[in-house]
Amino acid sequence: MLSPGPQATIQDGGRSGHGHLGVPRAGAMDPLALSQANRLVGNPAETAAIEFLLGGFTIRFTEAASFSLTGAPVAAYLGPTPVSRNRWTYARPGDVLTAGPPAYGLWTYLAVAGGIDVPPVLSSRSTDSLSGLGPPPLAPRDVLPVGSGGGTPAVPSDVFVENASAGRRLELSFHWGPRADWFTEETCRTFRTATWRVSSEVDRVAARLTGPRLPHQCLEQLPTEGVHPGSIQVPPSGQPLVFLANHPPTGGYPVIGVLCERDLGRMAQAAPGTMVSMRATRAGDGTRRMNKEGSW
Amino acid sequence: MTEPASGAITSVRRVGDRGLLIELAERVDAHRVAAFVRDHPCAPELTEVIPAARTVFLLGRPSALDRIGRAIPTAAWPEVDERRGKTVVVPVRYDGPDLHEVAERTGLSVREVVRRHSGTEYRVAFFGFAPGQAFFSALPDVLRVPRRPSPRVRVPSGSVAIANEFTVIYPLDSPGGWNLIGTRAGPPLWNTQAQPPNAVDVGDRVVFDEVR
Repeated sequence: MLSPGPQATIQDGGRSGHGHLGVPRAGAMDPLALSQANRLVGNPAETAAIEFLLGGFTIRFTEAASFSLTGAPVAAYLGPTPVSRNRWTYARPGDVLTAGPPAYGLWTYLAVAGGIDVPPVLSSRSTDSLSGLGPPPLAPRDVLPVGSGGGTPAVPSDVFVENASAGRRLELSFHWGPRADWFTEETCRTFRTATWRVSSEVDRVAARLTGPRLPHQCLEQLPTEGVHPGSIQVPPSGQPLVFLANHPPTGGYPVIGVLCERDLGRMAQAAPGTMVSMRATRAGDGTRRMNKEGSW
Repeated sequence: MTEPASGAITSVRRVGDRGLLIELAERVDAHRVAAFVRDHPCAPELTEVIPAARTVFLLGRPSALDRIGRAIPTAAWPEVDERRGKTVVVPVRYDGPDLHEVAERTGLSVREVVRRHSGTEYRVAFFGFAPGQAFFSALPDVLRVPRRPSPRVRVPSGSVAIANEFTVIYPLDSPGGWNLIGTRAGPPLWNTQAQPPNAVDVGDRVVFDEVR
């Protein structure tokens, strides 16, 4: 590693199954981009790769390797030669890969055939930026081991769907609840009709949205409870935040809604200043509760 | 012995694409409901089962959530067996920087603080705050002191600490506002290279053994 840029970490499919022990899942911010990067170089979809934020990234290959770049589109060069995104490329020993800032989006993925083979912690190689589990963020002069279990690089024939987008406006779908009943109907209407702005506070834990204030209807405290990825939590400030890959497994503020899973990577890739509107997947009072007959 | 769940469940809600939130009446132990869920035939299709103060949250395949959600309101689950769980002895050196302050605030001598802390059998109540941080309850009434007014930036891993009705061992170096009274003198209870990573589980008994 010559330069990690603002932030570069190792990420895979994440560390699930330990939430009851206080362990966050972590894993790639844009799982779709991670799996596409891996497929290009013949790795299983959730193999560990390098995730880097906003480019400024330089790495030297000490061994020959096939690699791929996906996610936020960066202008990348292998030595003097431009590197195509969403393809696999062969690097010779000594080749230097440089990536400039992305044209749009935040997170770019560098997968190498065989995967990044640091020792797993609780069966994941992901850096957990909230609690410090897994490998530390990458620093200049780090040397990363590459696994030997890679398959054959290939270009998948299907069309790549991308979460990073050049649009400055984003429409995201969400389900109401589980705590929409902590807000008045009027506040719920404000939430789904307002235009929200992605704040400049970027990290792997949450996207913060600024806009009209969403006051709580209840004044008591919510006992801490488990949360779903994509949960839109409203702290007492009334400014919502959307839990992303490295969210804590539990939270103590009411969750007004949860992003649809397909939109989670799009939220993660939204750069500060992006305008976001929220579209409810179904009308209703804000929760899907089971009735006495046991149906939703 | 089983107890019918009627009245024990306040609500069952689907959350997002893959979540289920089971809300419990005040008297119900979330760990019993979590144990019922983990024994359900659909449990292998779940990725998380997170018991908390008043809820159990599940993440997993929607079809599995629907089946468990339908089973929950009429479920019966085993009584918690008080003999269940193991007893773990943790050697502790009582050398924490807050030991004297705790003695002052409780009106006890340092010796008496150590005697009361190490003379109590605790149970693992829950995990939280940091990965692998087990909360042991209940601290004897006489030792209950609030958290420190301003937290330390760094508490070393292995610190034995108290606040309110709980005592904990810091599993990692982390910021923390608890009162540090000692240092774990044996192997760590949280070891991410072990399977399972936690040497104690919810319901286990913990005894602190003074090492001089």
